[in-house]
Amino acid sequence: MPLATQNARPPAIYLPLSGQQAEGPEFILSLGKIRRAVEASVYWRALEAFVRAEAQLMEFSRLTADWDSYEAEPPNATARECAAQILGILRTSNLPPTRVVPSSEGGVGICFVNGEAYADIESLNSGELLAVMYTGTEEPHVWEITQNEESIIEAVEQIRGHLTS
Amino acid sequence: MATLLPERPERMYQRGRPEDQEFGLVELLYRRYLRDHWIEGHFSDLGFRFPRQSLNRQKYSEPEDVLLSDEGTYHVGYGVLEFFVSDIPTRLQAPGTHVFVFFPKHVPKALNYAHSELWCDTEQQTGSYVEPSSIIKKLLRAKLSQHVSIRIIASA
Repeated sequence: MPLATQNARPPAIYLPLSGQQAEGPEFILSLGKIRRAVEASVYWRALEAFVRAEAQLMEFSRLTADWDSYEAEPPNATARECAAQILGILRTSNLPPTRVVPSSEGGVGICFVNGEAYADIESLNSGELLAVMYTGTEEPHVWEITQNEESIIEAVEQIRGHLTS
Repeated sequence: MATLLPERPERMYQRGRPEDQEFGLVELLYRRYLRDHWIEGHFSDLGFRFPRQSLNRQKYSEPEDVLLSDEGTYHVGYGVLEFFVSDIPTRLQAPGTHVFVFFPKHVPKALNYAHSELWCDTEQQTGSYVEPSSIIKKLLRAKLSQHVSIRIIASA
């Protein structure tokens, strides 16, 4: 059999849109419907939050010394790798962070906000892991997390309880 | 990002003025911040650092002065936050550690007379800066962040 016949594309099973149809009101409306469905989906919102958090974490490898104008050290590989591990655990636990930010102490912070409730896990360049949670101006609860999966999962569950209480 | 600023206000020059360690409890302290650290109405403790965190005191400055560097550049996009001297926890202790005391210290610079630092010492008053434990540092940063107000909104 000639090669050209072997590689021939099968006939299309969809109708190609003309440029005019692609910009038409029906097409725009259907895009809007898809967008609203995604926004209404808890699953998709969580997935978006994790994708955003992982992208933010990757950006930190490009930070240089004095990134905050107060001589802060950029997050080093130790802090970034540990933060990536925590993000993996958060994904499994289905607790998306509100934001991932560099810490002025040198490290990475994974932050959670729900109204007046705030919490973060800070992965420091020194290898230490610290967590804090508080509501409004109530006394903050601060603790050190041992760097193993069990301790991180325990901290994640404490934070989940704090955010939903 | 920094850009050239036309002129430094006269109030910022030290011009031989001495240190002034008298801080009023309702005196404000100013600091630059980045938009990233303002999260859904909360200033994150992750925007604070040790040791000797730089601040400008209200008695001798305006909030926007912290946006000027010693090199004559302007920190574009940064915001300015503020908190009262009385918001600094004066005494903190974690189980099994010293009692640490915190206070603002006026450390004037030739081009920024209002420059101050957040200092830490033990209760026995060594007279030197003492680095607190990680837990105490985190606790202090969290307590300060609970009292922060935004004076100039960051855009960067």
